[in-house]
Amino acid sequence: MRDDVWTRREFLGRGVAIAAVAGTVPTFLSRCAFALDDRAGSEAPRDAKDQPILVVVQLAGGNDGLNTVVPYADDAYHRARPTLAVAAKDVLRLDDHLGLHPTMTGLKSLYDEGSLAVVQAVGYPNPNRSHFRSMEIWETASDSDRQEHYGWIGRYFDCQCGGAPSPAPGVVDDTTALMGLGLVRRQTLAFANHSSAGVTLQRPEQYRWMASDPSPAQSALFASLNQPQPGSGKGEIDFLQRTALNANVSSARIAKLAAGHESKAAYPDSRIAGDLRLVSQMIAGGLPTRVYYVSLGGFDTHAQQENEQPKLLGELSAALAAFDGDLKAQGLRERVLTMTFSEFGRRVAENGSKGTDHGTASVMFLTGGPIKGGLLGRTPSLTDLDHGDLKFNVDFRSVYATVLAGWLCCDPVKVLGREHPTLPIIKT
Amino acid sequence: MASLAPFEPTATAPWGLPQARRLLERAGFGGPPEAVAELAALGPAEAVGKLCALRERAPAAPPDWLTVTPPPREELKAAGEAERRRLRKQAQGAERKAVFQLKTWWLQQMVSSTTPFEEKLALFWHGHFAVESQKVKNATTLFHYLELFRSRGSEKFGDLVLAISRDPAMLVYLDNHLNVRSHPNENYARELFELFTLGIGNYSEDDVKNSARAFTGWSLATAGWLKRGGESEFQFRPLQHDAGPKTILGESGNLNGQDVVSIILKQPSCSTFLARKLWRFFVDDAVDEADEAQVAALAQTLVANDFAIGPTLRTLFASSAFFDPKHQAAHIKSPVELVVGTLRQLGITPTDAQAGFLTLALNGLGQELLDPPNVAGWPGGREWVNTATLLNRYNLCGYLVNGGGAAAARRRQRRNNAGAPPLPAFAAGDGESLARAVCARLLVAPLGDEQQAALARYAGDELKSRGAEDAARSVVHLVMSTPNYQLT
Repeated sequence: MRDDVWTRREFLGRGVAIAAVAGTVPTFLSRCAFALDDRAGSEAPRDAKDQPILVVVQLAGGNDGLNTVVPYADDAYHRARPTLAVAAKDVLRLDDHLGLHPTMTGLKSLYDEGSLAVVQAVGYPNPNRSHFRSMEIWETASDSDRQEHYGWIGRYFDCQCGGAPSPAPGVVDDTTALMGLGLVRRQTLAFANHSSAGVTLQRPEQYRWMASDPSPAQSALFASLNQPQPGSGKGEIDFLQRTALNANVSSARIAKLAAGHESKAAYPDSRIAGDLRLVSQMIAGGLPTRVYYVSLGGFDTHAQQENEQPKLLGELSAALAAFDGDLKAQGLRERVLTMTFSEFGRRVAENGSKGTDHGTASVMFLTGGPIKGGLLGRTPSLTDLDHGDLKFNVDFRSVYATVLAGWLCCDPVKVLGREHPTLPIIKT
Repeated sequence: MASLAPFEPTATAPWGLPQARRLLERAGFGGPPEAVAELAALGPAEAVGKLCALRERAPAAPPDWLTVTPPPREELKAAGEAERRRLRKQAQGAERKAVFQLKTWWLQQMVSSTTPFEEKLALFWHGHFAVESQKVKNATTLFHYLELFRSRGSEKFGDLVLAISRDPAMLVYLDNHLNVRSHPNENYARELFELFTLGIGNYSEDDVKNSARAFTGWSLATAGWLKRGGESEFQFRPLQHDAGPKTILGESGNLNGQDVVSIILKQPSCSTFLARKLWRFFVDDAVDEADEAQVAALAQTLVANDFAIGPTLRTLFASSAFFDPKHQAAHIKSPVELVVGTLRQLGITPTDAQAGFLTLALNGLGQELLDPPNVAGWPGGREWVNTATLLNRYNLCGYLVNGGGAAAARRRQRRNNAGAPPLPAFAAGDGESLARAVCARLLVAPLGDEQQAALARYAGDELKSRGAEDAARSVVHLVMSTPNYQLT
């Protein structure tokens, strides 16, 4: 094992916090000094081509972490999963205790190259086992007993705009609107902030208003009818007007992009791969977007888990590997960090329908040019459980703090409200 | 605690067209000015009585076109491996087609129904007790599921909860048909508490675990149901049922699923949970502090009516709270409300092919019937709208108005409106009167003064250069392509 990688055993000895703080603070300071210089306005803002980009991949439904990063050497695992356990001989070994699910060959290659960080047993105190509440907690980065209205990425956007709570109506430009872009059906709560920034789209070629009479007069009138109006300022009409403005200012740019920049890289034939191909196209096309959000669903495997999860993990792994190869070929790999998360993991013991019920801690993957790969976090005990569920070892907000400080040049306290230890997974 | 006071019109808070319109748009899917005027002529209580008539009817049998006969077992047995695969694939394809036809059929019912309140209520229950056809995969089963809401949607909530707990679509969707004594499956029990009856925070993890045990053995008559894609019905399997003692929400005993439903109905959180959901669906997307008292009163009304939904909603629709002007333009139309409402408003009956297209298009708007995003149904409110769905809404309205997409619009111009649906006649005259007539008909949230003036100028130019029909069509699509039209 290479010496620059934190192993499970090293972590067992030192504890996450101490190891972590050492790793990224200098990066944060140097990067942020650079970023703050920009914002002081003495120089022209950095070109969009230099800005760090984050791609968030949501695994919706609650991904079973134990069958993703498999503790194949642990007898307790095989006892708890008489039909679902992955055999030791089948896993893609990460070390003498853990291995990736056999379908995840793409991610295994990234791991072997040293550009995949695997963070184990990520969760939060007093875990909630509702999909919807737990997803909210991850999206807002709140404590589990507190309700937050704004998302963690939305608060990061606010920091980027100098903390201005809300641009005056009518001054939203495409750079602001496009700061966050979700290739999802519903706008993620993670983007929510004061100014309803961020756009959502599924098919770029359809992302425009199709006039029944494409004349300049009609286009001008359409734009005027979709402008925020003085005095409305609140309520549903205000929300709709802001969204309409975002749609309007971003659609021309997206449409142009959809016409050009065809990605030449080969991607597998899956929805998530198609979405990541589109993300790569948009990055290559120079969109000012800082955070992309994509989603892969179907992880709620209460029954017949073997029919679903392996297929999804395989799709995820192949798509991430193709994305990585594409970015590398285009010389964009150093600008992009990709992170996966799921609202919770699943119960340690399988149920009677060859599935698993809602659980707690699960695994996160981080990959990309800026990532220093390795296996992080303490491997969770399968016998010392909380109501049959794993006890978490790494708070997910530590991972967010790591990405915010080490990659997005943003003071994590401003976004997360307090200090969290960071992990040594970002290259300096 | 205050109950919902009936609406008594006064000089300052009169009964008239705007009030009748709100009733028609919230309890039904809206309609043309004539339909509004008809209700307005009746007075509030009579209008509610007419629109929300509660009739008893037995659930209908599935129509013939819905039923797909799976290949007979003997035939499958006799066939070789390749042939078996082909037969299975063929049956799956036929089933998918039948499900699609069912979605389209329901959309058409909503457009043409003479009892729109029943369809609106069925839509509410479908979003509440959500299942996805992607998992259920059987058109006949989904038809029975829908019929439960369409024919019995106004009945008592407890009866609906019990019926849905035994509904084959739900049993499959939340895996309860696989919930067995040896290793209970918690999927149904958890969502029953969290999403269907009490809401998060009103039960414990142990309540979930014990309720899962209480519902063990609530299964289907036919094993292997999913594999063969056939129809099945509820069957209690005593050997799989855990008849041992359990404690659920403070009550102990050898509790079964039926007991769980009775215990749930006794929880104070049940009425408030349901009242809030009804309020957000039928009255206002947001519940502000002042509304909390009204929601509490609605919960009280539910309890007073022994949770009978029809009488409770009639009381709500005839209440002064419902007609409060603050709830004007306070509800973002769901995609189904937008599409069905637009068709009803303009008097357009889509052909089967068009209705099929609309069924597909609803997906792009975020509300594909019988395929909500997950077990929580559609969250509604602001979540309906993002930059993509807003543009899709505008473009779909263009499709409805032009009888097709952008290409159809151009063809229509060349061929003098051939192929486009006839639009209602708007007041002839100048641009200003055309703009005013279209807005009066389509909007409850008025445009800004400058916007209105710009629209009038545009309408005037169009009238001059292109004639009355083309001008009206362009103005209607423009007015529908606004934030304002998304509100009711």
